Amino acid sequence: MSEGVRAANIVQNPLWLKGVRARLRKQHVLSWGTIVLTVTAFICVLTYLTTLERGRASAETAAKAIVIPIIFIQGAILMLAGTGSVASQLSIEREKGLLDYQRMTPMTPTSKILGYLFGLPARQYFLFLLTVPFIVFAAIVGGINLLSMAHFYAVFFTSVWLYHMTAMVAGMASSKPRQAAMFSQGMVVLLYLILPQLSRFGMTFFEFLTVRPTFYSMVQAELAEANPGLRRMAEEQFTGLTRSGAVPFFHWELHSTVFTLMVQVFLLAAMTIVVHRKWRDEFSHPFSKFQGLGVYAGLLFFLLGGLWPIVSDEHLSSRLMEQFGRGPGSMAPELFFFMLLLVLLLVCGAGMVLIVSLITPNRYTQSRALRLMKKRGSMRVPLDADGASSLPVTIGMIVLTIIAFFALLRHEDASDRFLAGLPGLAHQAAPVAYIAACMLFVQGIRERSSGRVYAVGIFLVWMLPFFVTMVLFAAWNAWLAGAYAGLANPLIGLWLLISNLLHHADPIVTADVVVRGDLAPEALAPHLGQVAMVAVGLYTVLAIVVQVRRVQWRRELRLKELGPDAGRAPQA
Amino acid sequence: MDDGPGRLWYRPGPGEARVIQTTDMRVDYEDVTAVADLNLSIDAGEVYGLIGPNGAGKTSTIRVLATLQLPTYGEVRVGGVDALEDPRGVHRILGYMPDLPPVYEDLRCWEFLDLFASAYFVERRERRARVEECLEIVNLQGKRHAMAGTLSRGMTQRLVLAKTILPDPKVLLLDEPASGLDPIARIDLRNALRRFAGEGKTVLVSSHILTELQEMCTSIGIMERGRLLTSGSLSSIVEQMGKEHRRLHIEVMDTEANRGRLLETLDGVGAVTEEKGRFEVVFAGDESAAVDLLRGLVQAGIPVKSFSERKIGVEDILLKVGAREVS
Repeated sequence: MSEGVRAANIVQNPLWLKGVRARLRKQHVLSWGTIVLTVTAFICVLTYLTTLERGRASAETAAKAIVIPIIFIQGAILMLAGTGSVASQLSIEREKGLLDYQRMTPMTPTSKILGYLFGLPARQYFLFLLTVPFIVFAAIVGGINLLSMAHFYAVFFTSVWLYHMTAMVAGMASSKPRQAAMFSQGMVVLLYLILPQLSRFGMTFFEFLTVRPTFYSMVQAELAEANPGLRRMAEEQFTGLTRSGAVPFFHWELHSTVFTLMVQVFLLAAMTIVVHRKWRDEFSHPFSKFQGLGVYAGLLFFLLGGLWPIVSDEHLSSRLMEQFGRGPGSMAPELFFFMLLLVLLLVCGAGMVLIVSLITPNRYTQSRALRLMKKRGSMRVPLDADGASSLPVTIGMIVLTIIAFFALLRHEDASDRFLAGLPGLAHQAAPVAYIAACMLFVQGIRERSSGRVYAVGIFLVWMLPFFVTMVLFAAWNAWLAGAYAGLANPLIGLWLLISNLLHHADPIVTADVVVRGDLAPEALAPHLGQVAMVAVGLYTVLAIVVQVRRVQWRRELRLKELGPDAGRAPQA
Repeated sequence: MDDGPGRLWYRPGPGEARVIQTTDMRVDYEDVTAVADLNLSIDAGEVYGLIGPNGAGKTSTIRVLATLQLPTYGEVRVGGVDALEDPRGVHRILGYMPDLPPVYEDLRCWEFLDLFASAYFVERRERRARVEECLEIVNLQGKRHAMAGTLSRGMTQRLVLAKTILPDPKVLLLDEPASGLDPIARIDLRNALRRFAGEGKTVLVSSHILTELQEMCTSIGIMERGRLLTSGSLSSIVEQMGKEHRRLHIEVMDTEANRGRLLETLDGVGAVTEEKGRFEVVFAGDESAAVDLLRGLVQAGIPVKSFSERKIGVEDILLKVGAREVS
């Protein structure tokens, strides 16, 4: 049997079989099965009969009404309990050393990952199966379109696998089972409750990490009659971005299932890379340098793809502005554009910080790499090695961010949706120059310092100015002083720099009335240009100082590890 | 002189490849160098004992050989396969048993072994027989259906040993395999290892229990602070040390005070210690020189009651090479 076929044959996968044997003992099956079966039956009977008798609805409508509660039960079983189970069990195996046994079997890493992915939550899959007869009943009696159901469950399962893969990463990284389970379950809650809010700013990408879009499109298509409240909720949540179930992405309109699968497969691939690398060597970085750059490029592609149609499609942008402002015309176009840019740069910054944190070598990793090179008689650490500097990749991410930012500005300039004209190049470039310098500063600190020093250092540089600014703003309305005090904080810095960009742009003039939103306090407006200059200058100086120190320190390290001859060829 | 237990067992032919070979292997943990430029060669059919105090680098060496971690640098070949380039190639021929080995507590003993039988691609129709065979080897047939989590420490150790030998590996890496075993189980383990070696398998064992290693190993390596202080066949090391420093036991009839000083004046005699008329003499000379010494003592009128040579053991070798922290 070829290795590919062997990997795909999950029923014969030893790790799956181990999961089934260990997790589906008679006592577990009976106790948990009874609980799930009883609760699901109770909820379904209650919903069905209440809709039928009290609501005087038809049997078809009553059957449709039970779909939503069953989906919630299924989600709780597989997405919450299953995710926690994967994370905690894998963490226990890692802590005890059982993972080492598995690392050493000649199965392919893909087989091992698949075995764990389906074996660890075997009990949850069994409990899910117990709920299937209820959904089949609802689909047959309610006459639900099977294609809609298939779309929903395709996305449901890719989401489940994505969360379980996240849990595997958490389980392989953490030696505390409870912590790993709570972290991964917290991620699911975050995905469902917090990140979807970013879709209001065009970050549709985050919304599609969940089953919500597909769920609501199924609600709209199939279940609206039985759940009018949910239909209203669906319209409120998604009409801004999806028209007839389509997702605008760059110039295309993709089916929500297709887009969800695209997004989830991208993240699944990223998670698979991490798990693969950790299988090979538990001390290796989650991503190689190029993989980190690739993941960031993918993130940027999805972010930009979601923002693009908002700028070019009047219908879409108007609906979003209405939705955001809770009423027609209540938000100025430039204020909305300001929010799009701010959220874009903040998400890009967060993405870059995350990737930099994951791929930057600490002192010991660098020393190891240098010793290896010395042994091989080479003076250069390969660019993609864990021990190589993350500076080239950081620069690569910065370049991609600059390209994306300017592409969006040019696109806006061509469409004139939010601004009549862009300001001069210096004002346009200031926000990305700020974020570029900020990232070079972060990279320099990360490469030189231990994890704790890095975390505390970044916290102090970013949060202390934020707190001071808040006190100055709240207590004395000291806008200018507060702005200068908070420039080191990226949130405040970007807020001021994008305000400056839009302040110097030509606003849209409608019927001789200038529509200008409140971007920054009026008292700050005359000083925005100066504040922007100081902000960029501040981080440029910080970045130069940190990078110069980093290069000096790296040269010393090379001298120590490679000897005096190596000092002549310092590496970036 | 006895050639050690290895003479009884399988010996590789002169042309056979080294089964375990590391070249300039180094392992670092942050600022600590766990293994420093280790050059280790172990032939097929050897039972190689890796000895050293805690922190000597034994476990790190074994983990690198098992492909569980990457060295800072160096070459590692197991069974002729480059462990860094083709770890899966190594997995096919390697069995590894860690110190304090864990088991899946929620699996029965036979399920635990069956998991690894299928993970190592043992044919389905052969799996059950192989599992039974391994349970028999470690004497756990009676615990076939017991949950692995309910086994005692010694039984757990035996179950993991069964798992380790199940895929019939060419190379066995055993990290402190005898810890937690009762005396009978240790004898079983020793016999099992001898049998593996007799079948041509190569076994690398790390242990603190020196007498045990002496009984089961054909070769030893002594590590301290990441360095290999000495390595070779037990018999050759013993022979070499025996040539340099024999330990003679001389018992005399009377208890005259200056006997010790007199002994020290004789040719080849080094340090002399005495306990109730029984002298231990460090003697630098071969067997004929020892005969000359005995003759000299008798001619000097010393009433020699007994004269014997104490066999040199692993403990003596350890003391000689300086790894003093080993128990």
